[in-house]
Amino acid sequence: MDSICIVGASLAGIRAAQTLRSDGFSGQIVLVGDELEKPYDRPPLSKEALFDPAYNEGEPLYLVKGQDYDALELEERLGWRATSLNVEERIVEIGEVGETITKTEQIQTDAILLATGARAINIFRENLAGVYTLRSFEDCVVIRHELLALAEQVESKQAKSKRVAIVGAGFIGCEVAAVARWLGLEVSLIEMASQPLSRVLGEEIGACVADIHREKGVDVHLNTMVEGLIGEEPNRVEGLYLVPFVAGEGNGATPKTAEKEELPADLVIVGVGATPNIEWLEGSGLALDEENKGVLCDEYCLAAENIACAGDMASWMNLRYKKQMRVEHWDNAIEQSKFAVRNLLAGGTSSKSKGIQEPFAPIPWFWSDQYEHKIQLSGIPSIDSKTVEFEILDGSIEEKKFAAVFKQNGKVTGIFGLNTPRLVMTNRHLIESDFPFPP
Amino acid sequence: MKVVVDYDLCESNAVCMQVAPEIFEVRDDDFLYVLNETPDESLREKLVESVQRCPKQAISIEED
Repeated sequence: MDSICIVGASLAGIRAAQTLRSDGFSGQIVLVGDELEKPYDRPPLSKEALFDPAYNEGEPLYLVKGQDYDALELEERLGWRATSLNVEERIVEIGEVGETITKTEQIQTDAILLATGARAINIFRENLAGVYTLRSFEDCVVIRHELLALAEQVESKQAKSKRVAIVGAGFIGCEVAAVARWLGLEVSLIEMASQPLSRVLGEEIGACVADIHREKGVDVHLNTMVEGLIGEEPNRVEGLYLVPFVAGEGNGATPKTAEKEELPADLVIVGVGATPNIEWLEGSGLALDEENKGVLCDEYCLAAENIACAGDMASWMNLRYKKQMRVEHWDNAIEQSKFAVRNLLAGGTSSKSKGIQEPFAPIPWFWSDQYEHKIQLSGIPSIDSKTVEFEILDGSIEEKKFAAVFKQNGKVTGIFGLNTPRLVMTNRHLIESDFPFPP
Repeated sequence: MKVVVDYDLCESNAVCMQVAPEIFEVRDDDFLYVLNETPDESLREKLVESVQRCPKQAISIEED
């Protein structure tokens, strides 16, 4: 293998390049990314980068800095978007991002790593100013300006109060809520489910997260759907229409025929999840996983011969759980990219690089920072069924400092920690012994 | 090589302790302790992984 094209210049892409170089790969690495910025870290975008004056507004937090970046000797195509893939010939067609794509190029390499990530979903069709999703540094800069401008109006008493409505109480929504409260803004957090994060953490711990936000003065709306936005197009958003929402069986969920409630808002942040950037691969011949919505890969993260995937867009067979899964966690992108490129190298056709491929079988892990609270989860609490049960390992929910063990069918499926990072890590072995790999 | 931790950035996520328990320990007080500031070359891969997987980019390596 003498050349590789990495499609996607974010976390998985850059960590893959680092792994290639530290493993001694001296061939050509082409890095394609549709943003102009060099690879940067996204988790701060919904946290400190939104408010911290120490955070240099002009620059994101780069994942590899200065000389270390130069030493990777990447052939960059930043500001270029991949538009199609020829699997047999391993040709990636790319176009320069602009109003319309006019300049195109074809890249032919020995191997390809696909790591095009995911993009934020916007559920609103209204053409109103002041409505944002948050995914890129560019989004962060715009939202930061909006938040600081609103906070300034309140501080200077030009306005009595300003309200940020956050649609979706997932991690991004909860984190932005924390920042907006910090800045002295009124915050409404709107969630369709019965509790924030309840699909991942269950009702009781979800309720604890809701309490954290209520204690900080957030106006929390649960079992609530946003029916539409208030405002005159193309002017600024003025508020939202809320309706009660009752979750039904399976995916089915039926809004009651109830009166709509008007919630005034000066800024709307939409945090209802992300969808993988895989449309460009339709018709390429690569199999797409309908259920997980990612590119279908085997346990080695390979989608085809000499083509691997990593990060948010990869649906691979995690042999630890014997399940096809797609994981959108930050840590997963790092780990998966390493396995993916090493398996590409090992599967190379030149005898020099041929080695042993290794299945990627992690226990997922993530963290979230909200106010002074640190949330962490190892494992997949609901791996076997939708209902999750837990036992408190240490501390208590009331004091907002506890570690909990999730169990299903007598097996430990997850370790959760609220302000107990040490315990999440030191008890991970409980998951490992109930879900061993290799078995 | 020398392990450098920026304690202003460190939030004790404890990922480093999981990756390289020979070098890092988050104790009961929830603070990170570096057990070995100048680890042996054989620990380089683990240390590099700790650097890359630290959610706060708080760890770096100083070469001799």
